Amino acid sequence: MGNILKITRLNFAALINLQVAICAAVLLLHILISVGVLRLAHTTGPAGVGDFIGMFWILIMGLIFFAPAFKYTLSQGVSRRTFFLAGGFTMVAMAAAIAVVVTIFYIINLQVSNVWMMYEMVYGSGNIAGLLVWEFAALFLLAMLGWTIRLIYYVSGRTVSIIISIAPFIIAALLALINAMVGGGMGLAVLEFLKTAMGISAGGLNPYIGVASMMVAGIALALPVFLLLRRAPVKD
Amino acid sequence: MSIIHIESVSKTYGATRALQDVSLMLEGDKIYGLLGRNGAGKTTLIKIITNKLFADSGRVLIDGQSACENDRAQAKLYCMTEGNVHPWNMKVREGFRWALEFHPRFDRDYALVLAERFDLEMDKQIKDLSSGYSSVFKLILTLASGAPVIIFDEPVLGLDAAHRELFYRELIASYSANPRMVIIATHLIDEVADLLEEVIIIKKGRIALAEPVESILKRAYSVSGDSEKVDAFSRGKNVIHEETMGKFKAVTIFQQRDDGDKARMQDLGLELIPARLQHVFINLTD
Repeated sequence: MGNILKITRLNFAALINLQVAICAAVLLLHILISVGVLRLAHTTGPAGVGDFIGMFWILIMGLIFFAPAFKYTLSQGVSRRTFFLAGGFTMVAMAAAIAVVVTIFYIINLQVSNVWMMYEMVYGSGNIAGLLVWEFAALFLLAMLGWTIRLIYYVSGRTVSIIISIAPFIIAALLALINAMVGGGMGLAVLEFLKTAMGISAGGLNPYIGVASMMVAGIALALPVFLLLRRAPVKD
Repeated sequence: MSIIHIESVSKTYGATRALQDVSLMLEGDKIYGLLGRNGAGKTTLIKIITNKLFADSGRVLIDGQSACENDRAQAKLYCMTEGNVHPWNMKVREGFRWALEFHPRFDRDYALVLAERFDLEMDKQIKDLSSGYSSVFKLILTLASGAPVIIFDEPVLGLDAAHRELFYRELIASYSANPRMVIIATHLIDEVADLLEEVIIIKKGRIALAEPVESILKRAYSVSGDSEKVDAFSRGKNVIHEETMGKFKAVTIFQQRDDGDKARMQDLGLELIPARLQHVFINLTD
């Protein structure tokens, strides 16, 4: 446990504290710009992209935190298993930090501006606790996604990396083709699945179903992360 | 006293066989030299010992425990690597602080003393250090780590002559005050030759020799004198180095000497001189 906490603290001290501060500054600046834009355009809004900034930020942090932290901590005699646990801990702590920043941003936004928030658009406004928990789950999922993507590239050779980069476009095109061949049924099924998983069904809106789904997806990503990490070499 | 037991370790990179069935036993508080030419497999072996790479086959034990994915076994080692492992914008001072976090035996006061002796700037970012000072920083971390086993992989790369001298002095002083297992992997053999107690020579991924320096020196000797007489004496022997100046010649022979050799040297009027270690090592790594 000692090394897990040390590595988490190291990740925060060396990268995440600064990035969370920059993210908060960007969100603050975003409010100022949105206030200016709404006044100049004589409209009530909404304007801007709100929590999308935090989501983008954490995806990038999930991508970039891994390689330097992995190299340093393994050089300090830490095993991959310990690093994996510390990485998961870091993702949770990082998601919590950005979720708090985004929630504070939302509260300020409610008072002075009208910035577009993904949560608000889907589930309605006013539920601060719901927003905080939902943002945390979404940010955790994105952080894990960033870590997974980075690890896939890290352990892959050049040829495999190129294939991995191209594959999503080919798969998307093939799925679109198959979807067209079955009269759009596949796309509708995926959409219905996503709506149900996110708690957006005909029966009503429940952000906590979305929270549970995103947490499960984030935790599920831990499996490929662990499998990729357990044989990953330390690269110079 | 630590024991590192390497059992039949092999590693390949694509078609390149970096290590082939390497078995070794490193034992006790000694200074080991892991010598070999560039690409011989020194760094690969160190990376496997320090859990940065996985062997294709074989295993490494540290004090009886597997070195692979074992925090407790790895805590006994500290390794100075060629590259910079410190993340992001970490400063020298922070590097020392974090070393103490991960290595409770890290001697921060000693590290600060060494930093002053080497004129290392404490508030500079590690990534901004010159290659020489980057090596200095890593040398200090390793010397002050307090680990029972310290490993230096090409320790003096980028260091100027004064800093090299200072490093060797500090290494000896630190080792005398706190004996432990020291492994120095280098291709700059002449510089470390006099420090070593045991030598491991690695050649194309295989262990060519693993012996105490003393036993190597018993087998190596130099003979000098008239060129023709030296040739006559050394004919059929394992000559590993020779120098000629006019009619004068000196050769280094790596082969067990017997009483007959001694008598023959006297008959021929040749002078017997101790072999220079670097000649022996350089020859064995070639």
